[in-house]
Amino acid sequence: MISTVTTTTVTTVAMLSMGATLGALASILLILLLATKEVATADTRRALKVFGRSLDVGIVPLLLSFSLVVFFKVLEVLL
Amino acid sequence: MLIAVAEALTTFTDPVYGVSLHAIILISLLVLSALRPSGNPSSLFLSLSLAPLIRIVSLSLPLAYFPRYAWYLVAGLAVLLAALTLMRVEGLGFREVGVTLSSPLAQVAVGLTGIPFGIIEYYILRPEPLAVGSLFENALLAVALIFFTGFAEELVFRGVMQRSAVEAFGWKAGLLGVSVVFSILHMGWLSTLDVLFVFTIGLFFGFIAFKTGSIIGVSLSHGLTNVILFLLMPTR
Repeated sequence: MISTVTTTTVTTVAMLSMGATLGALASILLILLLATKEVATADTRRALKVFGRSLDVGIVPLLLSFSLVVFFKVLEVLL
Repeated sequence: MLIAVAEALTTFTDPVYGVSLHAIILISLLVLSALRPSGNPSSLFLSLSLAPLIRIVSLSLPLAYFPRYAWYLVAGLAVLLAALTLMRVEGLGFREVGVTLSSPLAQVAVGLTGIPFGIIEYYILRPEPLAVGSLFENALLAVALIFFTGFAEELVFRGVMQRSAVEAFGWKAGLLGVSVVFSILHMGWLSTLDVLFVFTIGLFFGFIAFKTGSIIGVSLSHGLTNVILFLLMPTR
């Protein structure tokens, strides 16, 4: 926004039932970032350690998205 | 440029392609930021990574499970988390990203500009009303709009992104670049006029934030714009 950056295309996507595919894409990206972070932080070189830390910028919000997807899927199965 | 292509793909072709390209851009920016582990280019690449990240996260959130009025809160929370994580990684304090109340009266005056902006944008977009149930619920929604869209997005664009862009390119090019990114991310509203309007407002917000060193006024203005745009004007 003004109007909103975050929800501009969300309406369309929610209507097109593409949520699952996009959720899967985001999950793959999250796994990729987590794996890269593990490898990068295991190295002793400073640049790689910094890289590992900067990956948190992508990991943290994607984790929120992933947790919500899992939460609602579990709820769907249980109810 | 690539972000514009990814947004165009998301909006006009297939969101899956768009998100895939956004993911590639995100990874590239993170790698580029690591190649120069300190200094301006690194900060700029890292802060620019918030643009594709916002789109990926906002489209992958399971918003269909939430009532429409809660979308702004959930999506805004993700944006806020991204900005706060970046600040932690970069070692930035709240004051450095403009979360400081310098000259409060001026900030309130800037905040009130959200009223005309909201009215103008309503006539451009004419969105569906967001208003829900009781006055109390609507008041809560208004607070959520101000904090989770106004403040969260201003923290990203004016607080974090503009700060590093100005350091890297100088204030004129920095403001211009961030306003372009800000307006590109509004392509999803399918209105060229709105993209141009948002670009102009982006420049105005950028200039105010740069001159006052605070994002409080522009956050208030941004939030107020959204309250008027989605809550007040559609239910007149």
